[in-house]
Amino acid sequence: MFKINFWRQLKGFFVTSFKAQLRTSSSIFVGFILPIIFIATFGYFSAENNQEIRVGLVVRDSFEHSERFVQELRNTGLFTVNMATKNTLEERLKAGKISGMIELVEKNLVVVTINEAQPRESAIIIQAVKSVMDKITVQSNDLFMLYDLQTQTVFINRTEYMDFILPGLVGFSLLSSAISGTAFSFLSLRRNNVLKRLFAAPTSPTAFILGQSLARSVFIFFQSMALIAIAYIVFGYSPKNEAEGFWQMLPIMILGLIVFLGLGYIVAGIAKSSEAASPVSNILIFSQFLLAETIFPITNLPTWMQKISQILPLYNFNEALRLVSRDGMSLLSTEVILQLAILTGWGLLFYVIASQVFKVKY
Amino acid sequence: MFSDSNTQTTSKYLVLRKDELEKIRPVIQVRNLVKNYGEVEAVKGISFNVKRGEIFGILGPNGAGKTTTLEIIETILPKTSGEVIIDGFDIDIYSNHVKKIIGVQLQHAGFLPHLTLYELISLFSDIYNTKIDAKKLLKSVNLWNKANSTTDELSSGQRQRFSVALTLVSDPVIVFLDEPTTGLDPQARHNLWDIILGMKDKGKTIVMTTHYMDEAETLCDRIAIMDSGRIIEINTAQGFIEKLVAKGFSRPQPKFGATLEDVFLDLTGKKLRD
Repeated sequence: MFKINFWRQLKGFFVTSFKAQLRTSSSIFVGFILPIIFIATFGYFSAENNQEIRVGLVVRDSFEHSERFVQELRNTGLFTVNMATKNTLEERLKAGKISGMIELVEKNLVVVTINEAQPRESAIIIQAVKSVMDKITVQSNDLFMLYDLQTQTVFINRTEYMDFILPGLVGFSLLSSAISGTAFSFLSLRRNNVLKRLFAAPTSPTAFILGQSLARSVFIFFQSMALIAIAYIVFGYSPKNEAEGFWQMLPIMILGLIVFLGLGYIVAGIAKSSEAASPVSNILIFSQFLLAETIFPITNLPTWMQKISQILPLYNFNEALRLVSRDGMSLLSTEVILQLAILTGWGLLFYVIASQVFKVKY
Repeated sequence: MFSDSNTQTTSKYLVLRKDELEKIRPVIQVRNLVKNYGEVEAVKGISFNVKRGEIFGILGPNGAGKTTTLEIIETILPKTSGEVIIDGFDIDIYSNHVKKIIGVQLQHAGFLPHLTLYELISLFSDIYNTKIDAKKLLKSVNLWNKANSTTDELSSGQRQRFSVALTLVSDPVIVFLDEPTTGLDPQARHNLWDIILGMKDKGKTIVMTTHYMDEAETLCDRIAIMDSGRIIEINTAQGFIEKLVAKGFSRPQPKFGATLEDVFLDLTGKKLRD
């Protein structure tokens, strides 16, 4: 008589579940295509559409009337002017923190660097610089006072908004895949009597759940890595501390995934059918999507709503990931630890509830 | 019956060798099995034995308790009371051992989705921790050409054959088949009959339910007829018929020496279609 081998069962469920996921278009859609659509639409969308345009200004001493030039530029009311060295401003331009750079070089040469990825801002910057030049020329009563304008373009498809939205979308992707993947697949296995068939054989429930969950986790994890990769390739996204920041994101993503899987087990445990699971998981996913600072800041919300937002698990995840990736904080800094602690607390609560409501019954 | 040369008798006890004991001991013993769903009594204290190597049929109208009875014996459903012993093992105590020695085909049971037949067989051999020749197994149910298809791509006959094949992965002592031929065309039914008889020839004990009387007559060595949670009678097909005839029943003699199914198979051939 053969002896049941737990590890062989675990391997069997891991391999089959992973293959099955690769072959399911819906699981790829929810966790991957949807966030990419968000990235694509919001990546091109400037969050500060109605606000002042940020430009960098480099002033060389040799430039004539530089003070007046700066003054006039400010007087247009269109700009927030950042004055710094050329190197610093180039960095900021690359990071999408300013929309253009104006250099006042030599006697009368103005070099404007605009970002082609932001046509609206570029047009405004050029028009404004031209009108400032005209104004100074006219007022100076100096007929030989002519400015020379040179335009340079760069294409930097990146805004500060990407740094904001990417952690949120990674969180959303992990949350939605973890909940819907776990709940719907489990409930459909139960409804189609697959569980019955599996447990008529000497299947270890632990091997079954663990194998499936591990496969799902690996799949979801690579999905969010692919999301980051696409943001990196297409939108020039990178965490503040580049590679170091990226490595620090991973533990947060793993923790988030484990916590969100717990939510999935709760839904699978309380819902009698996939139809019943759908509204429950939609509430869990989309209420957090809207309230947990996923794609827009919650600063515009009333204070009481912000208070609610700040204790949502997705918020804690997003915040931790943002602190590390956007603000370059260390994983071990107090602010990050605080968010991760709240997230871990949620995780413990989820698994306690899941252990009560989730049973492998068939 | 125990007096042949291989058995020794003492004054008080009958002593049998283990293999002899196993031969004569019923492979399934069900005693006073009761299953209640709340107020509803689905199975009302039934008892029966299944002999090693036979095909045992359970017949009965829908709701008679056939599937409930099978699923309790298969260790899927908990029972309310009674005793079930499979090959000498009480299912209450040795359910994990029992699961290893039975093969189960369920009514309306699906498979893990998006997997090929080959992958599913390999998963089941992982579950049972056994080595299996997938090619030989699939060939035995005429599905080798479908090894790399997923179960969604199979016809209903192919799915049924595949779920019967999966019952054999662990080379079980007993195979349970719950309405294995429901919904199949005559060709597929006859093909599955051959497969089931082939399993019997290999020494498997088979317990099956069916709504087709010709199927029970062709396949089953003994038949239990159930209704409303009770077994009304257990007999051979021949025994049942003789008893009814003895009561004076007579069936109008068929006008012709063939049935419509004979005609159908004559015209369309016995070749499997899917």
